[in-house]
Amino acid sequence: MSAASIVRRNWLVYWRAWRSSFFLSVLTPLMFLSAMGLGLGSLVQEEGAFGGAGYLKFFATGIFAASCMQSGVFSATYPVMGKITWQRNYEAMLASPLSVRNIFFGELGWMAVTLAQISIPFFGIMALFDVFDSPTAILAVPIVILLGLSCAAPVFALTATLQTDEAYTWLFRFVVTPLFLLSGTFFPIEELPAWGRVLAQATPLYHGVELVRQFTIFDVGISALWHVAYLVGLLTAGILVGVRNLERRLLP
Amino acid sequence: MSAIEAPLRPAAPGHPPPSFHRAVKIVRRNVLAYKHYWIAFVSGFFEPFFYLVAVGFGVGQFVESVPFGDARLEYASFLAPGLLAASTLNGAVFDGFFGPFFKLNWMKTYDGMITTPVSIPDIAVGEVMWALIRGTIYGVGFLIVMLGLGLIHSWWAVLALPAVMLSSGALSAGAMVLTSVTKQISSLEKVMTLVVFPLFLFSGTFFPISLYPDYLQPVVQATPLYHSATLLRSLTNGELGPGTLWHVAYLTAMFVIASAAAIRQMRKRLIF
Repeated sequence: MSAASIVRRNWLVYWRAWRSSFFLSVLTPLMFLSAMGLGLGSLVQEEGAFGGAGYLKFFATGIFAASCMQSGVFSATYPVMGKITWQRNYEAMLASPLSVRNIFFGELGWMAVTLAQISIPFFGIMALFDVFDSPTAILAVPIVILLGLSCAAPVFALTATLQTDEAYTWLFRFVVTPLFLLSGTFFPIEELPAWGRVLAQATPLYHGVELVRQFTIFDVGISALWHVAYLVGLLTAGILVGVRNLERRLLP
Repeated sequence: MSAIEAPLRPAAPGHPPPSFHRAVKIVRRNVLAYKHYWIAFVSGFFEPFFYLVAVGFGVGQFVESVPFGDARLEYASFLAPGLLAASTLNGAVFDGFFGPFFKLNWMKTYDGMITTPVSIPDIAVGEVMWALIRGTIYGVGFLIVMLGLGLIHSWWAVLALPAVMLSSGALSAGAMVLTSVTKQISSLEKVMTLVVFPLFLFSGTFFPISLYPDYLQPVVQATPLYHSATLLRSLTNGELGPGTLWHVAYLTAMFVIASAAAIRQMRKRLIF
């Protein structure tokens, strides 16, 4: 009995609906890339503005990272709150030999599986659109999984302190959506005013997007280390606070 | 008063038509329920605004201009009315589909309501009215933002508000039809990915439909959001033509047909 049994539990629940989940996770990137990459992209005149990569490649790599951030954040909101408050699955789990720590790492492990299940089809669709320039592109998949987990862990820590889901409206509308749109996903952050650039550089999505672009369409630089360090640091902080918060919430 | 007197009257033969007074009760019920969720209400306004900033201005500055009618538009002026139309779609999905889905299938709110003098047509009309009111409030907010950012180029834009209301009404009624045929919670995600998301991306919201191959253009022209986006775009940019009336006719017809269908389907779901 360990974190792995939590992952197995979630797998059993998921297994019932995998076909439609898989179908949807292929369709979403396909639609995004056709509409924004090909459609809007064909209107873009100054190709040079996007690091010389062209709008399709620029947008595809950005939205790849942004989708995984969004999915990571989501997986640590309603599903986790449901298991804490509404369905009380965690209480039942704690009646078994599992510890709070097992639950936390088990859920995080399952989030990694979910992220892989989203990012691998997405990666495949991007390959079909001929986005990748370099064989290091394959590393974009573990990068976005790391990004997703780095965003999920702090949100997990937040969820452990919440009594109702009201805060999520704030989280999605005023944190996730602006990050999604403004962290260099749709257009380079150099276009933002100076204060906006500083703000964008402080967000995990910016670091994730930069990393993905370095490994897929630009050259890998020394700054990659800093981006990885940022994401790992955020993940570690999220885990430390998250385990503590969840222990406070679940243990008497 | 009418609510109290209603049960004393002899039952009308066939199906009674919806009553405005009783439909307003449904709206008032939603207002009361929403008092606790006012943040969700206010925050709904920001979504199209963020998109406008990111895509309209962020990406838009790399776009030269977009052909529309006889004119060429700055990208932000092209996109903003499209986002306004998309926000009526979002509102319709939220108030005409998600909300009613839970009330119909999970919370059984409607089952409770029909044991009162409120009838099924009242519920359908009330929910669409509520969606329309919300859509109108968001529409006003977004039009003011557009005015402030210099994205309104014509006095015809005065008519954009009734156009937003028409679009809200038509799409909400359509969403209610969808609600009445949906039973599984997993269908919500499918509807979002297979209906709402493609409409949002491909209805000429982000780029003109002239970019599609010839055989795809009629498909896009058959979707409601295309008509709503093009109508609003004509009004805010002052590029009207005979086609404008056709958009109005399409949305009006959709409103009438979808409302009738929603009432019919809801009756089937709730009574049998």
